[in-house]
Amino acid sequence: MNFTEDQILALAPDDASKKSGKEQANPSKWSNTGIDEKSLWGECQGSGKNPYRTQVDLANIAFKCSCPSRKFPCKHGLGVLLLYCRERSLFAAKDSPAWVKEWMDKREEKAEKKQEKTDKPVDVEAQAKRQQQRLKKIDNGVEELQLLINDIVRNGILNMPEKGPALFTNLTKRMIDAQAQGLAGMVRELAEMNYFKENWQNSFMDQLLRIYITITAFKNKETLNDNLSGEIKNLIGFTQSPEELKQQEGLNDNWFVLGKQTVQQEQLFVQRNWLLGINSGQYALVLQFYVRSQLPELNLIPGSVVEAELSFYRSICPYRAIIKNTDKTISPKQITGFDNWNSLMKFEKEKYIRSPFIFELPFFINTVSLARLENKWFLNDVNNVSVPIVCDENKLHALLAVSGGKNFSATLIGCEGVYEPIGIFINNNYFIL
Amino acid sequence: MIKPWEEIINTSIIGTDKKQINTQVLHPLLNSLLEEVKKSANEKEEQFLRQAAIIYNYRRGGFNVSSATIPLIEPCPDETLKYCSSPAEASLQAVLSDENLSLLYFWLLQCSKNNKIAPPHFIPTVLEIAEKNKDLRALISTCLGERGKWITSFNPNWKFSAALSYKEVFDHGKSDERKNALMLWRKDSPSEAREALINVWKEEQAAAKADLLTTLEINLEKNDEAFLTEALKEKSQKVKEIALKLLKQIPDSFIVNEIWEFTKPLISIKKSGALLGLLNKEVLNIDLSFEIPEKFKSYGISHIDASKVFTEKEFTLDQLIGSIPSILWEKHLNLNAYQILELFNKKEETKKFISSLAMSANTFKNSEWGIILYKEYKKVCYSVVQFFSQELKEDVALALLHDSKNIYAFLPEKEIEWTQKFVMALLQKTSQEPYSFSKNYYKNIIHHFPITILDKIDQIQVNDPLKKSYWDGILEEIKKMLSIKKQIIQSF
Repeated sequence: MNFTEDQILALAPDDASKKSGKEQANPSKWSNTGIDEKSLWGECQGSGKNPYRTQVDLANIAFKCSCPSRKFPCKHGLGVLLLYCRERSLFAAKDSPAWVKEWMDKREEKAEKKQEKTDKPVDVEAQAKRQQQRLKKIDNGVEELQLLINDIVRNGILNMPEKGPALFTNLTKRMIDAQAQGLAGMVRELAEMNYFKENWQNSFMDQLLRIYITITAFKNKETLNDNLSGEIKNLIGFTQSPEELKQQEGLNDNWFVLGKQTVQQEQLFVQRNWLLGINSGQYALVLQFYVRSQLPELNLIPGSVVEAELSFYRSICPYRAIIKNTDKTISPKQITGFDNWNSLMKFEKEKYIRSPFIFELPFFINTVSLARLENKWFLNDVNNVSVPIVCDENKLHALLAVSGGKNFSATLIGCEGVYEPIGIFINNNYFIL
Repeated sequence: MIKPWEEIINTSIIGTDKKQINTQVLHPLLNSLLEEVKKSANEKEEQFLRQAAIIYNYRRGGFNVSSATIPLIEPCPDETLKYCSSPAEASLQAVLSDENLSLLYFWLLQCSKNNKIAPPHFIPTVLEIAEKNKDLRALISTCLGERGKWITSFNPNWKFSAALSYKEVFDHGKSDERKNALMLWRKDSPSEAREALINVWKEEQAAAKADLLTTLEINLEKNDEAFLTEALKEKSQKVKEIALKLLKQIPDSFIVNEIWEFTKPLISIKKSGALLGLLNKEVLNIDLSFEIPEKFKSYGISHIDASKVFTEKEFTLDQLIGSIPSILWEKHLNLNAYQILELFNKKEETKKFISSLAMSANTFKNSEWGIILYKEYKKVCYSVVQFFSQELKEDVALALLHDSKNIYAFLPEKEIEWTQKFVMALLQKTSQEPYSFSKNYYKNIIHHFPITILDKIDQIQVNDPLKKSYWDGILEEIKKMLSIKKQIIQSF
């Protein structure tokens, strides 16, 4: 298992934890360190009488520590992993001590119990009644949204920079009241849109039409096939439960973690993890939602490969998924993606043609190089086709430094011919930008 | 023919109340589809939204990129040096994570000595550090290899003046860059730097003149005298003061000569009999019945002693002695430094002038006198400490720790590791005042500490319980930094 410091620090819940975690990566603080196939552990002398016992589940990247911190992972968890990254010789391979074994056994037991819980029968009648009531609320919310969209297109969008943020913030709240969480999220994007950006009208109309298409499809849900109807319901806010998803047949593969992004939406953290199935070529988005001081269920490390089975949400273009089960995390060797821009864009257009609900995808492209025209940057493929990239100064410098202007493979996020590189693969190493 | 999406945007801006999508301006195939869609709804808004949804999908399903080929950037030349080892890379990561410039300097030094370079993904971070830390730039550029040089062409902030000649920076740089370039120039070639300053002298503002003139203190020489004498005629009081101060530091400048000629007769050796004439005793005879020439006042010689140690005449003499190179006394009295100082030390009324001689040793950087003055009389001549042995420098640094926390004033050599004896003594002192000597104090100097102190550092005793708990935190930090230093040493 080869993690870089950046990858480990990406697990920190906040910047303060990053700093404290670095401070804990000090050999003089640790004793009784060790590692086995599944776990890594150590004892850290804190301010108390007894040292804190810190342990890491290496397969699922989970942490446990006897310290009183309410942060997950705590500074000791990050510290021990950073220390392992810096000085592996301090971690002898040996059998785990009883306190680590106990925790690992409990984790396995918990996973089994969770499985059993899903097998318990539910009160179908009561559930149907609740669904009915919710559907009514959502129908009302959808109607309200439709009326507002009509008003906007009737009067024109010119005054949106002044009116938009307040108007859509309000509407987001009403969609939450209508129990249409998905719609609320879509409307929130209109509230948070940068109306000072040049050509904001394009982004605005894109999002408005996405909402319009979604609610129109929802109104006609009875006429749609299962997958499309399922997708629309997910978009509106009827998310499939993880338990239900886990019942589905999944896709087993070695999943390369292309990148990770965490954004805060009010009290909630939304973590996006982009994955690529090395054998299947399937892309996947794994979302995790958690509140501050809570540990996301999974810690996926960009640049690593997880042997896992993924279950996809119902969709005409399966993309959003959950990890049904993972076996272990390994280091990547060779990743293959699109050979050129033409094949990438063909794939992208096919997705768009099949589904109007997909708008931003990850892509992994082989063998590109940096090109420049004045202050604009491009990636040229093997056929010398140039496509512009969106890149802030820091990312650009990292890209230049790591590539040296030579060929590399890259992970990009974007749509319709404009992409942002988020990671590059060169000389068997993956660098997060 | 207008692009369909543009028509959607144009219509959406104005609003369907005033404008509908003009399908006639679009491609005929799209036109017929849109007309059909329009018929499926009654309301103008719904018609627009349906048509817009079609065009939204049409646009996405058929987007294209420009076919123009943009020229590739010139790739970086291959490296001639090897990258450092993985453990060295890990140690660099630890140094950068700790934001420790002292250890970064040490890492770079090891990297450079071993003819290795840092892995490329560190380059932007390290260059950003170089942007803010001029003293690290030269070392950083040697450790970033070809890629480090190559990448600077993409960021003007990384094109440091080190790569330019002194002349280029002096002619075109910002004020601080010009001064810095002149200082470095002066170190390498004093006369060239002086000539460069003379060439631009007339065009400079008074503030810039004063600032640039101070650089002549580096490698000050007799050849500077003419220019400095001219500078005494400047209108700016500040420029005149600096020129005078510098002229007084040139051992045979006209000012020093005038002062010497006046002072020489005031101090002589008198032989007096002792033990009924059986022994001849030599004592210093100081003549205080002088009147100083008026122009000496313009040389900054005054007669009012704020400290009240001297009488008016004594104070004047103190300044006169301090303005004369000590070597002239050696010739005049035909004695060596030891003997002269001994003579001054014999009587209470002459003893007080030892500090005047220390002033002189400091002004004229006389290391021989400086060493004797420190060893025998505990007088520190700051400008000559640099010529002391390492042991003596460490001794001075320790003795003056409380007067100057800037330990680099006495131990300026950045690459030298301090002795274990000194570091332990230093820690024994500083640990008693953990509030004054906090973590940051050690963070700035840690690379000088030998890692062998790791075995002994726990022996340091802090008796005050409040200070002890604070010190314990600092101690942990020192240990961590030393373990990184150890890691660096082992990895190269």
